[in-house]
Amino acid sequence: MRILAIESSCDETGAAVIEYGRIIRSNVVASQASIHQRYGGVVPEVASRHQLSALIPVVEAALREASVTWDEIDAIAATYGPGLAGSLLVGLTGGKALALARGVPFVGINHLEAHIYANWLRPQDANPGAIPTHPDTDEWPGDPRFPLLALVISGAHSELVSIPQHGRYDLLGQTRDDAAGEAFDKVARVMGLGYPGGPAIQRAAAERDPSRKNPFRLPRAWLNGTWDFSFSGLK
Amino acid sequence: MLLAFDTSTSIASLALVAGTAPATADDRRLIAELTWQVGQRHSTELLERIEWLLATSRVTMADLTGVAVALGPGSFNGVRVGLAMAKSLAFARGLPLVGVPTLDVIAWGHSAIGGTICAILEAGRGQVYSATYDATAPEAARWAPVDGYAVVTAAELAAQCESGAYFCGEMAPATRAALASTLGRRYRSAPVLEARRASWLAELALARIAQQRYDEPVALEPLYLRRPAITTSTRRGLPAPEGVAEVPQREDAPGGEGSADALRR
Ligand SMILES: [Zn+2]
Repeated sequence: MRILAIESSCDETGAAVIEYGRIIRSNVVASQASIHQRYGGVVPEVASRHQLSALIPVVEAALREASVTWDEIDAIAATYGPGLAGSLLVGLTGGKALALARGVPFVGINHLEAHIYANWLRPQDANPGAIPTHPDTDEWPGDPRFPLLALVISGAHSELVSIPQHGRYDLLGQTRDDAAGEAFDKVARVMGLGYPGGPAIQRAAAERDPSRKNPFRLPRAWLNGTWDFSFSGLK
Repeated sequence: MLLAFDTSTSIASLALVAGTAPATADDRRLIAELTWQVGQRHSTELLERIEWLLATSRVTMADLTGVAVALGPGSFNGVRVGLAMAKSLAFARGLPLVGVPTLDVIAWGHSAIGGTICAILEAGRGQVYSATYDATAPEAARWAPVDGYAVVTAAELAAQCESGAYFCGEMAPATRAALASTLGRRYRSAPVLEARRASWLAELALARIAQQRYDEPVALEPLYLRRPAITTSTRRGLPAPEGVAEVPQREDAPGGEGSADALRR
């Protein structure tokens, strides 16, 4: 099974060709980070416009880099959410249209589930070991083993999820306010460090005075007695 | 067989037209057409209805020989859905693609009236998108506005068209009233229920296809006519400027299914 996968939930347009849900034949990403930098955050309408411009070039590059033709694509997947509505619309509509045009199934994918399943991916030059008899459905050597605990951290999400088996998710805890990435962006903006906040803060931290140990006292994000977090106290 | 669609506003239209090599116009024939109130549901309803129209017309994807799409102006998301659909269909099947400005489509539908035609779509914030056309000798292959596309108020448009015009497109009652009161008997207009038709779009597209003037799926862009609303902050440390999402918002997904209930918001 070879899948063309499209992701357009925010300010990046991604397309990848994946075999057996694991092997990355190609992975092409068009980023708009430098465009949104000057606004200090993602402007939804600007992001949506760039999504549409990048859609076909990114899909074309993913197919070319994987050296596959349309006839070798068995299904098409795209993120349906959560994310920015205008950005999602582009990848979702494009994915459905490509599937209709090629007569293959379309699969809409939850953004956070995709983050979790990224842990099953491996580069195509990695030694796959023995390929299982049924490569689409069997467990592969090196796959994560259930039960699993996943920490999903992104610009918009901070969740702790227990996964007893494929496709079952029990939400243990989540942020009560800002997501971790959001906290980085907000703090970086308040401190005038720029956007995106994570790399900006990392750069600033590298210039610290190494003779001073723990110069800042930061509140803890963990909420005692729960599995939840809170990052809003940081700003 | 040409598939033409227009999702520029809350009214969408979709047409299937036979005859894509119209050196002679004789083989051109409307197979099916659908015009409906799509609201904001462009993404789900366009795809469903394309599939429905093809199935009921007993046409398969393999029968298609071209794709035509309306480029806007109009609803930003609506126009993007149309272009994402058209680019993807054309790219995945290697079909000729033609994008036509929505105001050209509207005016072409009324071109037989002759004289000066003014096509209008509401742009919000008290403005309209507009373009005027000389329909003295209308010709599909050369159909273009006299003076480009504009975003103006109804009062400004009335001043521009002071010698009178035939006004068509989607006009709010206030726009009609403003034009009519300024222009008096020089204001003529299309019936209120006259909606944009994708078969008009198909006719303009067929003229372009006959001349092999195609658009590239990798490069075709909407006609937005408006920049994104952004007010940038000049001082550091202020709250996010208007129109800026600090992070991806947790908006609901525009359709689709998944098994990940626990991850859904
Ligand atoms: Zn993400």
